[in-house]
Amino acid sequence: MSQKPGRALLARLALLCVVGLTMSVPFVWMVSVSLKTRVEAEAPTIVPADPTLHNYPIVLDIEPDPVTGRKLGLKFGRWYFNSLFVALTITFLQAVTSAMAAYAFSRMRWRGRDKVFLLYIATMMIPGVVMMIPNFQVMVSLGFLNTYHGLIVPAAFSAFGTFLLRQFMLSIPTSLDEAARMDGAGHWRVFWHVIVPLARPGLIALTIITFLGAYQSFFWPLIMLNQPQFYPMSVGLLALDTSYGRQAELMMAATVMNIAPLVIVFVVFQRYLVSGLQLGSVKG
Amino acid sequence: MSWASSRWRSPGRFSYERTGRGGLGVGVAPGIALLLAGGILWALHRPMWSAYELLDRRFWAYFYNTGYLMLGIPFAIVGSLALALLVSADLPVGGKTTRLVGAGISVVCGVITTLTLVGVGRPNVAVLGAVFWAMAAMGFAFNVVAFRTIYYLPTFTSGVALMLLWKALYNPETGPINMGVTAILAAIGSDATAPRWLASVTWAKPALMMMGFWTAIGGTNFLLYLAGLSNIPPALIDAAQVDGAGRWQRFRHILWPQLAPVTFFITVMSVIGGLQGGFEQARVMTAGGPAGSTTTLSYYVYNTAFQDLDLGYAAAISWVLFAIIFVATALNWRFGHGVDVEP
Repeated sequence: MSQKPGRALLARLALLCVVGLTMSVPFVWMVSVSLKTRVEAEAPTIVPADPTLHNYPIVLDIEPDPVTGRKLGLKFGRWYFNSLFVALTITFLQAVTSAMAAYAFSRMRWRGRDKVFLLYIATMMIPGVVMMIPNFQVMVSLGFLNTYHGLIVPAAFSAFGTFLLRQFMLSIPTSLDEAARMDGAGHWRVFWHVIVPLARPGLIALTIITFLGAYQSFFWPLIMLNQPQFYPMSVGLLALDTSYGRQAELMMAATVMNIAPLVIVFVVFQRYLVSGLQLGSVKG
Repeated sequence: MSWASSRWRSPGRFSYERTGRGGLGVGVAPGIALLLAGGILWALHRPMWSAYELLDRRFWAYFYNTGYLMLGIPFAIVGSLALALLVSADLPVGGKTTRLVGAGISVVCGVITTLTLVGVGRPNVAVLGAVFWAMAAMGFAFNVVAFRTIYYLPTFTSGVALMLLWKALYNPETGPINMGVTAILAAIGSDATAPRWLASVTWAKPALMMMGFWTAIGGTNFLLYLAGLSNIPPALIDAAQVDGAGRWQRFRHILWPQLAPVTFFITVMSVIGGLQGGFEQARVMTAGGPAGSTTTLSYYVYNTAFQDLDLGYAAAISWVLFAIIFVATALNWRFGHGVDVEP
């Protein structure tokens, strides 16, 4: 198709831009409303006549809400911290456990290895809805309700992550770690100095997928928590919506703050993203 | 060129054979006998069984809702495919110099458009114009990768926050969607009122489907189609072009059959996801309403377990849902016969 550039190029570029514009209009509107004052929030304009940044400190409970003259009294800052803390911890733990399990499943020889692996993958077939109630009851028995570890521990291991990294490690030639073994390296050395550096693209992909899922997770925290100081932002946003849903400018400031870390991750890891998520998309 | 569809599929991948039908009658007979026995028992002891609410009307109503919302799946698949086709081949922007020139021209055009529109007192249109030209500049600078990234953003950021955003967009009084609809209705002189979206039994489901379309169109399916398109041997397309096949013929006889495994995989995963989906939007946007019209099976399980506090019944619903998912997947396999699994 490269024989006739010019008009074909411009037509396709224009089409791509129009589609992109249509898809980004909700984001534009979101940012725009978050910069408006209460008086203007419901006006059909994109550019605020009187732009203000005050909605952000109001949501974070630093400044009082001009409508009532009082602070919102919600712990949005704490929820922000909870979300990031829980998501980063889950991501770290899952990367460690998945990488080590994947090493055991791809590089070590032990009896029944492949059968155990099959059991591992079989758990991926069961829909989440079915596992929810038994999991919840286990958490109740362990006394994990309303705790951080109740959010972190169940997500610290992942059959999917193990599967992803095992497939990745199988594609690394065994001659490399055999050479290291010849030189007297034990399993830990081989794992840390040979396999992990070579499996880096797979690890990065898993890290992105896990962080994304953990940061956005809504269902599990919703049933595990009823004390607001442990809420992650997803559940906290719901609480904010219940009390202040009519004040669109506050809601949109909150959603902008919720999405901001994701956009940062998105921009930083953009290079790894498309290939990584194609790897990960088997999960559906 | 129809031979291509069967011949070019890579060999040696996992595909399954239909099993013989010989033993079917014998194998099923005990099951049928048990079923009949159960039916007779049930008829005899109806009052006893009715205590267990064998016929939960709400379950079927919510099953219908779930199925209705799943009607969005084919649209999302077609949309993803169309989008993937649009950005699969590089834009012919040429070498480094022409790319820089193109990006530069776009930026200049953007500045001129924005200043002009602000000058004539249309700052809102000016913002949209600026975004448009910024995208054009990125298209010149980074080629199709820029658009792949932009289209992926809604999926990447999806979650409670975006659902609250759409709830605000759909707000019947203050939301921009109804401002637009009202303006259009007024412009064409119609005296119809704009739909009340999430607050209307008729429009709540289509509203959720449109949001789902926006979220999913540039998501996982899009990436899978892109991967599938890059795996098609270019020789096939070149050969068809030499034989004089037009755009549509090339798509119909080469791309579509070659993408069949991807489409099959996406369909299976979408059906599995759709059957257990709909919880978050029901919880965040509509509370399952109005009048239960957006309550899906997963939201029903949640409500039964954590609002009615009947964990046992909720577990039973979830197992029935599992059975439905299993049957749907089995049917997909049956009718997707001969299609490779691995995309």
